[in-house]
Amino acid sequence: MRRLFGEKLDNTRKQNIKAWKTGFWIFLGLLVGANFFIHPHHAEFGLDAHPGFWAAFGLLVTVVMVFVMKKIIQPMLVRPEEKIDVE
Amino acid sequence: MWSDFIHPSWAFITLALILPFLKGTWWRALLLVPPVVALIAVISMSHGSHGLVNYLGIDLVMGRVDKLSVVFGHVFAIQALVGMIYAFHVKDRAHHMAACLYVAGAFGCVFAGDYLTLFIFWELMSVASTFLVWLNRSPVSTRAGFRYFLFHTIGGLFLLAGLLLRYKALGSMAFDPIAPDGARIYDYLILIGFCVNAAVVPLHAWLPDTYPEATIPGAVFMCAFTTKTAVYVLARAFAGFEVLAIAGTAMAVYGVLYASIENNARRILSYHIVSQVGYMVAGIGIGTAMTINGAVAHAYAHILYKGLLFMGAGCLLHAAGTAHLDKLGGLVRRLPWVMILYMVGAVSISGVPFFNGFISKTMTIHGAVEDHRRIIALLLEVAAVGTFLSVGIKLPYFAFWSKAENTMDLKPIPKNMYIAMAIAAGLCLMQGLYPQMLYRLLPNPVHYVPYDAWKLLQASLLLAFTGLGFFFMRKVIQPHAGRNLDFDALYRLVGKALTGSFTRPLAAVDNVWTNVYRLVGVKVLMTTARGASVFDRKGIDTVVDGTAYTVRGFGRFSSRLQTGRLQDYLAWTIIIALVLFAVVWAVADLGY
Repeated sequence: MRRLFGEKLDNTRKQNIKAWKTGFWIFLGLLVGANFFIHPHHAEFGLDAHPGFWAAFGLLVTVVMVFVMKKIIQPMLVRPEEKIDVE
Repeated sequence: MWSDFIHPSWAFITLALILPFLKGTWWRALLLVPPVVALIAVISMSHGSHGLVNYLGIDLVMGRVDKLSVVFGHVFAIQALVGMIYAFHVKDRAHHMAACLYVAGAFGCVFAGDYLTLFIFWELMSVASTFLVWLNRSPVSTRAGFRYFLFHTIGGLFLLAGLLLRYKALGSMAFDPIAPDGARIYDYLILIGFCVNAAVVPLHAWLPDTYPEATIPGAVFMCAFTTKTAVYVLARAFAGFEVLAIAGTAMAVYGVLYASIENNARRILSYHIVSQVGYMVAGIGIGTAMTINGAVAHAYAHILYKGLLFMGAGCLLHAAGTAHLDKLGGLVRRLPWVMILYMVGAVSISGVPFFNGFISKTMTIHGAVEDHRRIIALLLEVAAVGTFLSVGIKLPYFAFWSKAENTMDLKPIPKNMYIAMAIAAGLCLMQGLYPQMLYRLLPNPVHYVPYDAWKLLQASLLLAFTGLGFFFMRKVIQPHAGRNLDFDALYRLVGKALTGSFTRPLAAVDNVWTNVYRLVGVKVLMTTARGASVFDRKGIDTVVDGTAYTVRGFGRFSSRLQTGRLQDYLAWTIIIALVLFAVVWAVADLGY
């Protein structure tokens, strides 16, 4: 039963990957669209009065965080797993 | 007074004491008794001071009951029940004893009305949790456990120094709120002791170092109690301390940054404890009625969803034998229910609407905004993005998907682990849907409405575009094997330098002494020995032999005690300390 359920879960993703992606893009578009009509009661940070601020914030923070941490910071910090413990 | 108050710790301590003497396996049913007793005790207790004891002229309060202590007691009891169900299949009695004493310690701290009681239960937690690491029985865990214990001992000593100096200055052990502008050096010593357990950066490194090496159910217990007890004591005594507002914000961001580069699932979750506790510490530091409420609500919600996440990661570790993401992947076909239950915890911690993280996290941020702490609020939003990125997307993506098919050998997962996860998942969802379940327990009146159109849209925008960011960066964020240096590397460096500063001079002295001894001492000794041997043969032999037998007998006994294992010494220390406490108390009571 579990095996079947898992396969079903996995297959719905794999077989309809295009549809999922399109759906995701539409969802993002709708959210930003809604932002033109629904505003915060009062903008607290200034820029957040503009529609799409929190969308840009989420995207930008993610991309910068991943790039800086993985590409710049981690190479300086990482050591082999075993060595660090025995030291 | 006792009739209105049953201390929730007693049932746990009693079970821990009788467990070693029970035969068979039926005793496992008893595991569920203490949490249920504790839950009933917490629900039925009346506000006020209970369990007053006078020990050597100091007034101890075992049961200070008010809204703040009850809300923590409430969630501790629930999580203890969930944890016991999750650990139900474990046959190792020592593990259950350690878990019971650990939980008992946490309850003791929450209901302690004075610093001495607090300190005793605080140390009980520290020792018992160390065993939850050691009982994983691997060389890596043993070393991690030592480091953990050492660090908490140092933290405990700060607390002890602070409370003794405070007692000397004020003549009181009362554990009450401290005014930020009147805080003295001893208050700050206590604060440091608390901050060690709250994993405040840079005193946090013990947490991501140790939790990934604890036993699977052990980590589920540990993620709930140590840091949240620290949050409770901070909220009790140090509300409004500006330093905590800054430190908490730093924790929130620091934790997510490290989690984004981690490979071990349990270590990712550990860094997110640092981050999530950061929200609570920041809320306490800001110190308004709303942020305190937010901090407490977040602690409550966090215990439920973080326990669930650790249970999910524990299932992966149990089944696959590893929690390293680079070795996992493609498991959705084989562990679909683990995935679904894990995801409930993941969306809860990420603050997805209709789950409990949303109703508590937004409260803290909103409180910060209302108090015009814009930078803090904005950095907490950065942490929210990082949380969804690592726990909500990265971890499940690389564990359950990312690879086509997983063919590794999987051990079956016991049913009780699923049941525990389902209970936690149900609670996370229910609290998200009915926020009043949580809000009515909070210490201050709640004037906050979590659900309105803008709050829902703001959260959706933030999280959905974090998802888009992950989609763009999914190749870059791919986890790799390796351990990232953190502050623990610095602690070790300091430790080594300190050891060196003793051992090097001693080694030098020893070298010189060896030379002197070889040149002078040996000759003198040989001459004396020749003389002595004559005397010995004639007279002493008979007398000495008798003594020798006695000494040998005692030596054998003491060598049995001296196993050279810190674990044994620790257990002996506690037993001896308890006996001493009792003797001193009895003697003092008799009026000597």
